[in-house]
Amino acid sequence: MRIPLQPETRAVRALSLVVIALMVALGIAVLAGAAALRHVDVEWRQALTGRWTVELEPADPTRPVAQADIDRAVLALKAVVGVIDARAVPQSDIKRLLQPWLRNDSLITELPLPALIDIRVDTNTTEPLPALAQKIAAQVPGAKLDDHGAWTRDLMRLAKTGEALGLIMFAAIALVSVFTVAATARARLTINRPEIELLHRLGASDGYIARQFQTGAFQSSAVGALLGSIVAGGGLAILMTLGRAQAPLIPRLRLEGFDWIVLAAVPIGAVLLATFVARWTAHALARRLP
Amino acid sequence: MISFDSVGFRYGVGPEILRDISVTIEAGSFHFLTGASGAGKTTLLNLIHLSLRPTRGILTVLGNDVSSLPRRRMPAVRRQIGMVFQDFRLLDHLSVFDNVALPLRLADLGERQIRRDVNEILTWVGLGDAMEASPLALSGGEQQRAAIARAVVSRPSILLADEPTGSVDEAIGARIMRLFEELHRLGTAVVIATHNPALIERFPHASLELAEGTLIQRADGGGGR
Repeated sequence: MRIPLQPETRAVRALSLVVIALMVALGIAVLAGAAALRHVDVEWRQALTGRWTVELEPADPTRPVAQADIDRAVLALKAVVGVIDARAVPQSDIKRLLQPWLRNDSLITELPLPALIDIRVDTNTTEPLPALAQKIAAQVPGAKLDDHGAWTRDLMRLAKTGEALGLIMFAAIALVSVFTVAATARARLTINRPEIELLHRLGASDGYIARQFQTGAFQSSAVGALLGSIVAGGGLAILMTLGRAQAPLIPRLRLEGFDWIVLAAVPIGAVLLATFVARWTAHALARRLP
Repeated sequence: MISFDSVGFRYGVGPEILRDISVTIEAGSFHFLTGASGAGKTTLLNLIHLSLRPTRGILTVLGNDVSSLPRRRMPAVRRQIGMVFQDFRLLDHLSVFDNVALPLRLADLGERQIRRDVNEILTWVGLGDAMEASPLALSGGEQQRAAIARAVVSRPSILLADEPTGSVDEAIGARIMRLFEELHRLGTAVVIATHNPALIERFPHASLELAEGTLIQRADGGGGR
């Protein structure tokens, strides 16, 4: 049976709620960010593995590459062993890709843009890049081969670093939560010390005293976790909606089934953690009584 | 029921406050514990209440050797001992009823039985009309009676009272003493720490006097069994 302990002061209760809500919201945000970065990394890998680009520069810097030269280059590339497919990127697509960077439509129209040919290569049988580049250069003089390695490696490293940082931040948040919950429990125990001593002397066991605090901590943390989940859920919904609206160069925030399970576990874990830490702290302090 | 055999006690590394205490308190007996302020009366009561452990000697309470009693078994033994604290120790945020109900709730009794027992004991101590009041709204004497009601509501085998008449007038003090005698008649061993000689004169029972850390047993005034 639960004995009503002296109610927490409004300030202590508000502190417990805000701390748990904040930790849960931050935890969800950080984990969602880490999961999104992992998906970006995977998407980029899948999208770019075996996809290279051949760039043809115009012979006359004031004029674009002739369509006949492009068609010839595509045919020649298709004939190279290891190249599965070759497809010229339409000039309209190239302009569209440049648009976010240059903004100025007339400048894009006037610029003598290089011709780009997307090629798909068989990653299992393809020769090393320098050898293939030599072959392509022999078939299509002046062509430059780009396997996107230079920038994709950096981006993937960035994504991986971001994901690792997210996980480290989550661990830090969890650790801070433990200390904060323990400190709050201690503050509450200090406030309730006369009652604890009395219950102890009236014959309450250490476990019984700890349970009184555990129940209070469970209720406070459950409300805090719910608030934090609502805030984080709202934030994620906004970000995902913005992602659908599509800012071209910002990767879309995408979360899958397992990610949602992990995110849902954050508030549950926070409540369990707060409850356990409060019980453990109360138990440890009760054991100090004679 | 309570047996001290050459018991000594000191706080930490300080001087020995109680020395070579040897006495047996039988079931259903009534004892005054007297002595000057600081003689160690409260310490002796705390030893019986298992709030302290002797630093030497053997203390047995309700058949349990206090020195070797495992911590997990202490709550059950404590629940058989009622204690009236000198400073009452009522919880201000609970009503008088809930304060008195604490030992019964700790013993996990049903709410119906708790209501019946608490009503009965509060009526017995003359607080039947103040059940829902806050302890803060009670006079010193009423708080004392509420504290006594809490100590006896679970019908303990031993009742310890630390200066239970210290803050009440003579009439209330006499009433409280009659409550204790009633419990004593029901079979509870009662030990009352007091330095009020008038009380001892008016209610002749066996007396244990603490002086310079040792115990002197006075003649039984007829209260022991």
